Amino acid sequence: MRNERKQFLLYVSPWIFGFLAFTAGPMIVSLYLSFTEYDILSPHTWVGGSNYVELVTNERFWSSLWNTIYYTIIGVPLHVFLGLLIAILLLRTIPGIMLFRTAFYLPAIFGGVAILLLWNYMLAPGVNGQNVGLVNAMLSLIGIDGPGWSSDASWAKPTVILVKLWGVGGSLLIFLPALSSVPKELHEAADIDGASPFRKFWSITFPAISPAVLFVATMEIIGTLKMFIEPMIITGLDPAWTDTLMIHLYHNAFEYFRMGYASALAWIMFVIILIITIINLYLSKRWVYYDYE
Amino acid sequence: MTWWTYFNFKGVLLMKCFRLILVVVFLLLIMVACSGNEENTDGNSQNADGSTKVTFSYWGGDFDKARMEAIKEEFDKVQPDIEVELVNLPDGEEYSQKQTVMMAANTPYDVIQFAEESYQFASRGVLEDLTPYIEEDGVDLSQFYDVAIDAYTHDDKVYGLPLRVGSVIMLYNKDLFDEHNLDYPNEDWTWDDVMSAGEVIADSDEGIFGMNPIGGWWASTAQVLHSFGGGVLNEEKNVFNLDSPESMEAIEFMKEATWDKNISPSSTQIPEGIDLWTSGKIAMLIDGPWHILSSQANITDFDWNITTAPSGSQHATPIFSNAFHMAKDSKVKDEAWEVIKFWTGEEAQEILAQEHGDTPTNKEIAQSDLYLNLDGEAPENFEMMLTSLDGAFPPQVTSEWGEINRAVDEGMSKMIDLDEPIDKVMPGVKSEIESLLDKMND
Repeated sequence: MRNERKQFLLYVSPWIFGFLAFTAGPMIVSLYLSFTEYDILSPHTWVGGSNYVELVTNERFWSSLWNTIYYTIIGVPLHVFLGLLIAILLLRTIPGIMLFRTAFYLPAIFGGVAILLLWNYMLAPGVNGQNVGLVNAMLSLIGIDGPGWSSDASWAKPTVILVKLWGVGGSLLIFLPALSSVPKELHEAADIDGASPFRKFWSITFPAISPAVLFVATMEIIGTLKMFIEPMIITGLDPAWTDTLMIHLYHNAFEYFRMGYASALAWIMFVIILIITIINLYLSKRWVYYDYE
Repeated sequence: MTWWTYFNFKGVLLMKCFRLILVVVFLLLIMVACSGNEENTDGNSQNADGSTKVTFSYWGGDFDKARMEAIKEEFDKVQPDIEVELVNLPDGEEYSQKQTVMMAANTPYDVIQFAEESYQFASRGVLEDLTPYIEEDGVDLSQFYDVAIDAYTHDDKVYGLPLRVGSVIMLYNKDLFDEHNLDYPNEDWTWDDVMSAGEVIADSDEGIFGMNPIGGWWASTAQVLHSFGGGVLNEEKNVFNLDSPESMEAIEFMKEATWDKNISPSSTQIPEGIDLWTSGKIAMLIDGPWHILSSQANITDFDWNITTAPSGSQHATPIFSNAFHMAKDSKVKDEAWEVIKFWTGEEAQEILAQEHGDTPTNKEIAQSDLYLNLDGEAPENFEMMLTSLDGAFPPQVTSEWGEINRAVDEGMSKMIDLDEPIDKVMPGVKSEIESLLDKMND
């Protein structure tokens, strides 16, 4: 027994060391730095809470915060809903289903900057009625005059969300196994009772896969609150339309030599994400069912 | 039993295990420390054959790479004891970030190419003042264009020596002017001339514009502002000047050209990835001299030429250049200086001159046939490159260059690309930049 405990601590020690040295350490240092003025190159000076004061008085912070929340409130439900919808459609056993599953999953692998740049080209607005971007050109074929996408204040944020939905197939990996593990006998029993397909989904399938939905939603919320490359590349004509907190942080930390301010921002973000995640997990008790409960 | 109960009850065991962890941590630290030392003794100084290694970081494409290698080849002949390691890094914001990280880690490149961000780094004390080296070796700074040296002289200390320099020029499509029987632009042209010629040529049905969108990045914005007598900051660089009557006149002009007269496209009208100039859709292109090399390479179906950038109330253009700086934490400063001296010396300048692109900073070489004789290739009046440098000014660099630049770019984009009223946008830009100026003056 003694030996086992020893081994336990021995085996977890690399992780504990890694956590202390590479996660907890930098976090504590950044908390300290958030109270200093630090430009990375010269020694830091203690400035108390002035970084935090500057933060709440900075218009750019508030617009970035609003954008981030907008992406989360609109984007995450869309992402989960569409992901689930696609997974349900792909659950059918029709010939060539693997081909479809692959087709919907592939975009999640082909992501990143290169794809976003392509989207930039495709969403380009036109010059004098001549459509340059593929998307607006296609829309004009069916008689729709496409919007200016990134160059239009009211479209800039929805554009970022739309582009991010490109990777919606990524949640198939979670949803497909969850859906196929829903007990068949429950569905059969409901069939005999004459339940409608919607009733069957809502009363049987959804409760059964609710842990998977919670997982996808939670990861998506955290991911969206930290969103960076999409708005960085699909930037609005006025960056204040699309910039997220993460982009605001990046500019300050690495371009303006304001590591102290950026550290303060990182901590505010940490607290925001923590609060939202706690609320999310608390609310989840009302709609998520686990087998062992 | 869950794992944390171990921590609650078995204090003695815990101590032992922590001791074990401490030993592991300690060993790891020693490993880290040793590898660090190794790098220090190995990385920067003597090579096995007794030569000294100098690392030299720069950015640029194939042209730049070829030029740097060509200069290195010459350098190797005269300084066999110094081994120059050229490091080509991606340009833009990432370049500065990389330098910041290397400096923070105490392992900077010995020689570093910087452009407008030179002062940002110099003011933070990480660059070596080159003045003593220049004085000791008697390098004659008067053989360089003054403005090129001024751009890297901060608080009367020279921090970088430049190899090349350029200014904002105007390229024009001769065919489009011929089509409308208009006179070609010349060095006396004002913005009014540009506007009236542009109005005749612009044809929105054909997607043809009078001129390229002006503004949009610091040099273009500065050129227009200064040609009207304005600027982002005043001359002492301590007062916000974008709302002065002169600057406002320049902004009004840019708005008029984009919206009322519609002679230049707003940035949303330019298709991503399509060069309107080389495809013959723009009559006048007012931008940096690098368009000459790409025009020579890519334009086959129309004639073009160059002249100086248009003036408003005066002729003005900022210079573009970059210079070679020395890291303060370099361990091989004397050798690094030899590298900088050679890279801006005559042999290097002659290699640059033969490209007929950017102007060599050495006046004598810039004025020689080596640079000016194009053998009949366009543009015809290439000497204009030198005319344009007369009266050119160095960029208004400050320690907050990056942030001020972004604030101005965003404000200008709102006023010009989105056609928002000046008095709605200006107060925000002003307060943002003034708070940065306050911070600088602290």
